[in-house]
Amino acid sequence: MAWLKRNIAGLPAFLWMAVLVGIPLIYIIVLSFLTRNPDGTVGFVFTLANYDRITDPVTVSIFMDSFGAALLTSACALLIGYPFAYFVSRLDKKLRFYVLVFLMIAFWTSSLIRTYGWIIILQTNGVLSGLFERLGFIKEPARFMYSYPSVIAVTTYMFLPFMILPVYNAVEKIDPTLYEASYDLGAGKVKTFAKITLPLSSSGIAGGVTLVFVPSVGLYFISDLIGGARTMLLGSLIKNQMDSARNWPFGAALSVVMLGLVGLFVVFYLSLAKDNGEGLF
Amino acid sequence: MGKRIYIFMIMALLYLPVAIVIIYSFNASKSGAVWTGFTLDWYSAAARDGRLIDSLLMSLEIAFFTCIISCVLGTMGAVGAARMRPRAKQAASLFMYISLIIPEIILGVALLMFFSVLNVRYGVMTMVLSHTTFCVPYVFIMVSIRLRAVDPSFIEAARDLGAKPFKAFASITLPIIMPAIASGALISMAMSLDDVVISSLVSGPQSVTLPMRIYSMLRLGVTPEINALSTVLVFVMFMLVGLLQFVQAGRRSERAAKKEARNA
Repeated sequence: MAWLKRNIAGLPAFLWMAVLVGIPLIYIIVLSFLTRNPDGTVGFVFTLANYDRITDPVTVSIFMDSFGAALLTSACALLIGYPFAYFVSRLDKKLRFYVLVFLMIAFWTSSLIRTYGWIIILQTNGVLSGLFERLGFIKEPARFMYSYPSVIAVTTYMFLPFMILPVYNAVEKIDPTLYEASYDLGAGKVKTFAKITLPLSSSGIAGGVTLVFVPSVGLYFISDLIGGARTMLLGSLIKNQMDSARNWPFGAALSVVMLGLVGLFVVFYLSLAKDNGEGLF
Repeated sequence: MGKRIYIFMIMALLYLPVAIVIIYSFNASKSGAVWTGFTLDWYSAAARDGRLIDSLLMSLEIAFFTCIISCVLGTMGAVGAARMRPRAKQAASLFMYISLIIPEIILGVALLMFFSVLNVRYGVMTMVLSHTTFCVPYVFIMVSIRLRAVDPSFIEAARDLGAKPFKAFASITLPIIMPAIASGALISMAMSLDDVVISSLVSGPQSVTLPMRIYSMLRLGVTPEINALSTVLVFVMFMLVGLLQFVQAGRRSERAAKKEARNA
């Protein structure tokens, strides 16, 4: 009774999450060991065939491509986002406030619509093609879509704020007297950055990399719309198993492996960081 | 100076695609990037399209219910977690953080399979259940952070003065965490209105939300009606997020004032 009294307020929320996150996740693990009937329904017969199929070279290469793309995206976002966050932290207060507000607005603007904007820019006869033609770089209308680099570029663009915000939060917290001390002791700009800024913002980097990496592994509409049929990534493969291919047990096995790998990655990165992305809010 | 140019360029790049969508929604030309003149035709075409309006209404309906349920559950969860024993509290927060970083596609797949084994009819209800599931952790975390600002001695004082626990909560805790609940409400609404991945998995054939409609139109090719519609959606989101920033700006200046008061 005392237990109930203590926990009553939190109970509905945690029950909700347990029923709609906990149980479904356990269920996909169960499902991943079941078989698919010829009519596309699930047969309750134990098998390891779904996991066996993941070791198939085609599936392995999709896994490699997806995780590779996510790593590449994180690296690009870090290269572009770190200097941005660092520079913003050095701005005066008022300007910094406006930059952060506009960053948040961009961050919460529909990702589908922003992807659509890129389609208008990159498509054949699109904005970029027209601009290049006018500048004389190209003679005929060109298309910049349907390629691996274009998928990476748009994904990086999409998740850039996820990198900037945690890094900014970490850099901003650094005590400015540390820089003064470093300069006073004769260190130059580069050395101060390497010895003070970088180590003290490592938690922000780890948080940012995690926040960019996780969603970019599973994303499917950017690769679908920008990459087209040529770039099959994990998100699209899983989605296909759910509707057109109708092989739910295989879809479940793919999800389990993907979640496991993502989980390992997150545990590894967050062990480097104390900041768990709270800065996003 | 170079730093400011860099910041400006990245910001411009962030807004470029949105700006392009908005600009081309007024372009008279049906295809391509050539500007042929100003028109509002695409807006009236979108407004006359009954299916688009139905989708918009469905999106708003789902966002409305998602927002209310998420706020109630997330707030109760955060307030409840604060009262738990330390280890239970830690486990509860960890669970919320984990739910937050599960990739969308996997949450969608898991929910679809779960609904199917329960034989639930897909539609608005399954979408509200799913959207609420990914929104609750956000509200929970925002309210939890804010709860740290509540001084327990105030609650004790209220109780000493004879207030019942609920009265003490309503007159002391609630006003303090209200901005966080408001932010959580706006974020839930924005995320629900934006979701494609999970909705398209758990929606069933009859229920198509606006982002799902836009997505399927996009796969068939670019049409100016989508620009018009997207522009409307962008403005709704801008308003929501603008409001959110307004709420949080108040909080930030409050925090800054406190900091100054401490330093003085």
